[in-house]
Amino acid sequence: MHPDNKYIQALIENDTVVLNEMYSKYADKIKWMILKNNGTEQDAADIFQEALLSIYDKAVRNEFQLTCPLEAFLFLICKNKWINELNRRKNSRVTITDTGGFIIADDVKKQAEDCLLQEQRMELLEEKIKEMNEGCKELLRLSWSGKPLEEVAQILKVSYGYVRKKKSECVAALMKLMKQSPQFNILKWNL
Amino acid sequence: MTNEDYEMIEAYMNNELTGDDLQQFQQRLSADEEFAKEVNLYGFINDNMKTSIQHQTQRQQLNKTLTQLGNQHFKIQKEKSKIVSFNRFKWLAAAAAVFAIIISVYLLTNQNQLSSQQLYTEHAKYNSISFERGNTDSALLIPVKFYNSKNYAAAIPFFETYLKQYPANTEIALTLNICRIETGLYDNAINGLDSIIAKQNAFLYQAQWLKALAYLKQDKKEECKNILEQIPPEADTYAEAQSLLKRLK
Repeated sequence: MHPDNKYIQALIENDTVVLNEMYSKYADKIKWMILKNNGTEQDAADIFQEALLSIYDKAVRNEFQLTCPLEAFLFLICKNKWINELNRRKNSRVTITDTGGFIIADDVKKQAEDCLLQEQRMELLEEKIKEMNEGCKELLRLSWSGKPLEEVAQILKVSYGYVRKKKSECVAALMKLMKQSPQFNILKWNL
Repeated sequence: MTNEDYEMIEAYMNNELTGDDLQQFQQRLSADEEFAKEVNLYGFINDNMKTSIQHQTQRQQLNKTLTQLGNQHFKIQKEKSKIVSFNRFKWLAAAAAVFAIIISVYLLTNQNQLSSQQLYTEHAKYNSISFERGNTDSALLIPVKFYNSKNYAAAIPFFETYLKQYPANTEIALTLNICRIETGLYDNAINGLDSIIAKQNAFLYQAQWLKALAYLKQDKKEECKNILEQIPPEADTYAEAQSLLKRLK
């Protein structure tokens, strides 16, 4: 395990002291990359923060193991996020060839791509949940909150059998909504 | 895919399939690619939403810390903080600021006549809480409502119960201590604030500022000044602290 995993742990534990150390070590390089590529300090702060949150999201799902220095990985995530943001703003393809002086192995590149892909999948998922009817939203939220379905049934004053049936119907409806979205196929679900 | 298929998937996810049903399900999973894709997506949604919802409060806390650190390490305007926006009505805040300036100019010329109580009333500006992004924890809706309507005594038990479950939510802990100060539960407030201060996290300066206000409200000017002097220039509460300090001297 790479020693920089302590920073991943600090994200999970919201350890301000270690996180502060991480900002001191890494923020400048990200700032420099974004300022050089048409961004502001506000952009740099936002991108840096979002990158850390997407690493946190991967980490709490136990899907994240750092195999290289965090700085290189973070730089790559921020760079990819910034390219996406510039593309979104300008509606044209942007490339940044700057590697920040890091030599990044292919598996790390893949890991960074996965991280962003996962983030976009979650965005699509959450967007589609918002489009669902209130009944489904409530039932799904309760069933995902960690409560056993028996308890969800009690709260909603319906039978256990109904909750289970209804839950699967709601998830199926959600899947249908997601698949109808043009973004769905770009997000490589089946790899 | 039929509704029954999705019910089977749900049962499979909950480990409720046994015997023949389980065997049939597994056979279909390996033989039918479309079915396998559906099962994968179903599992993805279930697993990820469970993790998301169960880590929601923790993630909001982290986001808060990161916003604070971002403010310290990048040169940015502080009002761009993403999750919780105090100051619901910005024009009202602006009007209040202008009013505060007029009052302070007036008071600077009359400062000797001011009692601690008056100072407290002028400096203790507790903003109402509003949550953006619509993902407020439902357990907070009632106490926040009480708090925003200044019914501090009613809010206290709800915040206390909430904090037993989520002790890491420092923002709510701060809010609880505001309620305690307002209702005269000074010892509880100071104990609560001391334990926030001991954590030395992003809420340190807010906690110190509130502790100073708790002393001020009790007319303990020396204790109040001591705390104010500990608030360093990089703190977001520094300006307020200095202005109160000047008036106390």
